Amino acid sequence: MRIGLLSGTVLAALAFAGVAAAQTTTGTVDVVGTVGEKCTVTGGDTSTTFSDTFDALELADTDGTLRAIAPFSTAGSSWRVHCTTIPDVSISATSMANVATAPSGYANTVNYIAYADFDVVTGPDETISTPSGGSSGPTTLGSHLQNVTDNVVIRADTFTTPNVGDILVSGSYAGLITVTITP
Amino acid sequence: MRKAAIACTVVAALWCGQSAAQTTAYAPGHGSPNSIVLSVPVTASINNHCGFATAPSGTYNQPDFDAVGLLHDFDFVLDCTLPLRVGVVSSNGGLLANAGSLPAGYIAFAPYDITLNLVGDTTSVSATCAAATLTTGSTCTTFLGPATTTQGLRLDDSASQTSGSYLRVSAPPYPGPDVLVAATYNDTLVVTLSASP
Repeated sequence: MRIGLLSGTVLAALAFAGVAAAQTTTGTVDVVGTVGEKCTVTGGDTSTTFSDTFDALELADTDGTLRAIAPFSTAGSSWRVHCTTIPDVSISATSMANVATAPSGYANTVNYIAYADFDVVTGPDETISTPSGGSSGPTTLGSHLQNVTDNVVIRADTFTTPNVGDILVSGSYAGLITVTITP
Repeated sequence: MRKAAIACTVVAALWCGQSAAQTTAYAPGHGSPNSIVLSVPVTASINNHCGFATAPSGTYNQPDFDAVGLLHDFDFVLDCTLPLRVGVVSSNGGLLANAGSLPAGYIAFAPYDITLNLVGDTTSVSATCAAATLTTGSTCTTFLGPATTTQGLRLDDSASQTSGSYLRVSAPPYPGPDVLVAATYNDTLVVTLSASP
């Protein structure tokens, strides 16, 4: 009986050792990433802002009225706005204003028309505009912005006083054009 | 009763095939020998085997990878009694989005790198290839899959379920100059293993 038990044990062990367990030799992994809707700026003040300053210098002519001021433009700037979608754009502008009071016949405000030109991949530039003191948009562009430097140009022209012949009061005048681009 | 037991022993020995000549054992006082020595050789072997104890698997999802980049390790465990090779095949060669036709300056494909690190019982090996070189038939000579006895990153060692092996995907924030369009991007990596004696 003892021999019989031993033999049975050995046979069972040999049988077990002779079988290699089936193993996995293939694995699969998935890599997924998303690009969110966003707009960023290269060459601007920060990754989301850009700016420029236009100094019209002396506004008044020798008679105190507004002199002819040449249009202002940021064309040639080094910034590039890139968006991962076709963006919405809007513009607002404030008149150039002086804090000094202006009696009748005088002016402490210079108005203008502000524009933003967008270099798009399809067709000619798209432009939005507003008189100073107002705003326009948001408007969805017809196609993506061209992925090039200087693809957004801000400009202004048609500088006027509230009334023709107004004499500008002395002091500093400042206005602001804001262009907002959202994905 | 004792005679019966001895007789049984002899029969068992013959059954095991260890004695060619018949031997008779006698009860004390009835002759000699009084016992028989049996020798039963016991041998066993373990077949070579090679595979993943834990295969690489799962999904890595990185939001805004264009801004923050990619970095993730898929851990796995090797179980091989002999040297092995591991190969990787990328389905897209990078992160790809189905974004249709795009204008110049915009793109729906982003590159990334894959690092394969294999840890054995006494050694390890590591290599990196761009995903773009890991599509079927491409140029990553180091570990383009599928793995065979001669193709794939070779670990010249056994690996007894040692930990530390991984498949790493990595990329810096997308540098441009093209703009990645807003979308979901994906790639699938198939990792295969082969013994490489």
